[in-house]
Amino acid sequence: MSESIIKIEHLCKTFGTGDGQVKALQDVDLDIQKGEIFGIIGLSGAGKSTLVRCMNLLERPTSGTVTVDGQELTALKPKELRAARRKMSMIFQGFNLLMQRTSLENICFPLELNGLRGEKTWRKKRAMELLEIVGLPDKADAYPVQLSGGQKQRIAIARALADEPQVLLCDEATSALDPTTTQSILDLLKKINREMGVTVVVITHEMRVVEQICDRVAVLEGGVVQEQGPVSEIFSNPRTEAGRRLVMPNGEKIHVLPANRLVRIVFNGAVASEPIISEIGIKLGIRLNICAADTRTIGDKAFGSMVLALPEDETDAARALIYLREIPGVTAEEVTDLVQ
Amino acid sequence: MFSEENVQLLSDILHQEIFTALGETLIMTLVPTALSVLIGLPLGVMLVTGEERGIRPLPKVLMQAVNFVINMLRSVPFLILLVAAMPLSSLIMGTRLGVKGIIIPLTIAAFPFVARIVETSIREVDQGVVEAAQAMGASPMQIVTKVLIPEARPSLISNVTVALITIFSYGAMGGILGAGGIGAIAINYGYYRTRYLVMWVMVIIMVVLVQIFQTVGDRIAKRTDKRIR
Repeated sequence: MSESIIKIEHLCKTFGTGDGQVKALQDVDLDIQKGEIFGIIGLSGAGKSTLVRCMNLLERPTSGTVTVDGQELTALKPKELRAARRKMSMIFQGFNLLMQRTSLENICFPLELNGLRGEKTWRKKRAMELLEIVGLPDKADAYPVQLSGGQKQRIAIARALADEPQVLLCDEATSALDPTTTQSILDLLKKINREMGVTVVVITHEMRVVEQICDRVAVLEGGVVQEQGPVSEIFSNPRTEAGRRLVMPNGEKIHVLPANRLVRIVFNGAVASEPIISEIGIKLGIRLNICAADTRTIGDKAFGSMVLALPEDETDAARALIYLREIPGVTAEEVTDLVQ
Repeated sequence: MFSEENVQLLSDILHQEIFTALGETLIMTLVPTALSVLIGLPLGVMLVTGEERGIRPLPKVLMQAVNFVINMLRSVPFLILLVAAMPLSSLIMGTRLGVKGIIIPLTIAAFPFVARIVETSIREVDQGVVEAAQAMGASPMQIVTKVLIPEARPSLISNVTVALITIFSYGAMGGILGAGGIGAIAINYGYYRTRYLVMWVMVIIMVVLVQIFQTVGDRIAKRTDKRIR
């Protein structure tokens, strides 16, 4: 059905040698599809920035291959690599705008690099179009120092789109921004993806970002992809410790009696209205304690999640668990790493 | 010091020689500065981009050789360098004396210094911006001409001002060995013929010139820096 645009196979990246050697990435395999928004999530030091920098070879992999739009980047000569990089563009946490150029001149920059991209008047016209798209037509002559963080990122996005890339790589693009600005930048990225068909790769440590715009996600920890799949699937049924840590309500530890076993249930919007907890109380006569609860919107669907403390009695606990697992649209799994 | 004779001499100098001397001083300052920038700018850029992790790594041996030559030239005292460069000067300029004679020695003394300060300015450019340009497919040459130099411009202007003033004072020193300009008047009349009044007035003129150079340099640097709101 869909076509692969970035294919990463057996990618390894090692920094340093000997005792100081750090394995930043180990045997990473990813297949990013044309037109999707792909998230790579992990805590700091997980290797996600290294991974995205390997996608345009800002960082050269120690071993493995990176193929973009059918072209194996790792095999290209410098000049060919530069041409290939023009098909991708990148935005950064620190925006990385040219401080001595106006917004307009910043947006013209990638067009100037590409000698075939026409005259100065044409470049300016194109830059103005992009300023419209990112909603800052009045900031054409402003220098970066005169802009807020959100505005700078918008200019950086406009600059990234100037040369009509197929892929937009976002390296912690919203991490330096406040929640409201983050939201507006995420909306903009989504709009660009939907309207211009640009494939977007989002690197983040915030689950919120992934939930809001990503179609699929890879969870990275210790330089290894722990799991990957559609966001709703990972959210409702994380199969690994790393995945679980990221999707837990607020990611906080919960204080409960040591004897209690915990179960995390996730239900989609359709069953969210059913009084599951009361029903267990009435039908099975088991009382469950709600330790944490949260609702989130992933893609276009609402999801609810709860962490419940099972009764101390083993049989009751087992019965409750079976009951929960039989409800359609609900996933339930025991968790152990939340107890403090 | 303020005897009639001395005052008369000063007045004569201020009416006649001073204009030629001022012109000579300007040429002796500006021409070697321009030449030093011409040589030092590419060299300074190369010291950054040619590093192992730079945007266009060069052979380690070459980098070491360049570094060695720069350090060596910078460690030789200016007056010795001036004498040593005289044969080269008579070869290129046809003379060892006067304004023409000091341009080559001044350039040789100053370009290694300019290369080092250019290196410092270029290193100040945010690595992230360079990376962004690389991600956009910029070639090393494009990064140099469109990112490194324009982004470092205010710092480069400040640093070239420093170099210009250094060259100015070296030029004045050159008066000892037959160069022209205001420095020569100060040394010839003031030092050799003990006309201290003339010497001090020349020193004051030089102080004023330095103040002007610095102020103008600062203003240009500030005006071109778009990081200042």
